[in-house]
Amino acid sequence: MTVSIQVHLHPAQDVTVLAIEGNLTSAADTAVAAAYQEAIQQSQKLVLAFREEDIINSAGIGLIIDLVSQSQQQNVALSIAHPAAHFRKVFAMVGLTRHIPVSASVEDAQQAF
Amino acid sequence: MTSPEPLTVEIRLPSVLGQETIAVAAAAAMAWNLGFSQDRIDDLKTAVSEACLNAIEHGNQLQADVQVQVTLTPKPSGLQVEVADEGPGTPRPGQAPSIEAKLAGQERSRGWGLFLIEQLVDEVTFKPRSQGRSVTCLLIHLDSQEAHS
Repeated sequence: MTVSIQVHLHPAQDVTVLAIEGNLTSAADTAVAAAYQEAIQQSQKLVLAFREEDIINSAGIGLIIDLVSQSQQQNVALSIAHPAAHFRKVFAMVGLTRHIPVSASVEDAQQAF
Repeated sequence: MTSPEPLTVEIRLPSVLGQETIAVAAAAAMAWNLGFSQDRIDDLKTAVSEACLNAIEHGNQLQADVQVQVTLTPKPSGLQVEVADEGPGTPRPGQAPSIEAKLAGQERSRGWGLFLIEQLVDEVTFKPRSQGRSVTCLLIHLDSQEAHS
């Protein structure tokens, strides 16, 4: 099965938004890691922005944790925006919200820095 | 061999990542027909996805020609989902995963599947390997107060 994910970078002032289009699963690892590396060349404040319809499984949560770990070591401020209340609940369940801000919209995420 | 209960749906998946979405869609459709709220359907979708991923990856070791069997059965209290694979059974972690330990590099960053299943459904049973298969059984209750109209 072909699984595709795209990550578009949207720099805006001092924040770069990584707009993720597709499900965040183990298949997304390379694309998201590459986008993160490109984004930190542009900004030290990043928003991982998801679409409402995109799912995140346990491997995707692991991928986000890897990014949080890297960002902490690199002094990069990382934030998440996901319109779906279910995934914001999952982020809270696993404890991500103790370490990075999680918002419903990109606008709210940008204000969380 | 016992006859399946009326209205039971059985799905067989090859052990290929991504195929779990088929079982997730079927479970969501059945839950909707049973009157589950969207919140509970979202919980169910994540739990079924994780149970199938465990079966595909850990149970059947990603062998495409070995099948995962998913059985959806309406119950008076909700929906039961059985996920069977041909592996030795799901190993139970000694303690819940810790994001702090993962961020500190003391645990691998993945490994949230069982935790999410246990958090999102009402009952989880791991049946020991029998007759060549291991089964994870999920039961998610239909809360009538949350049901969609």
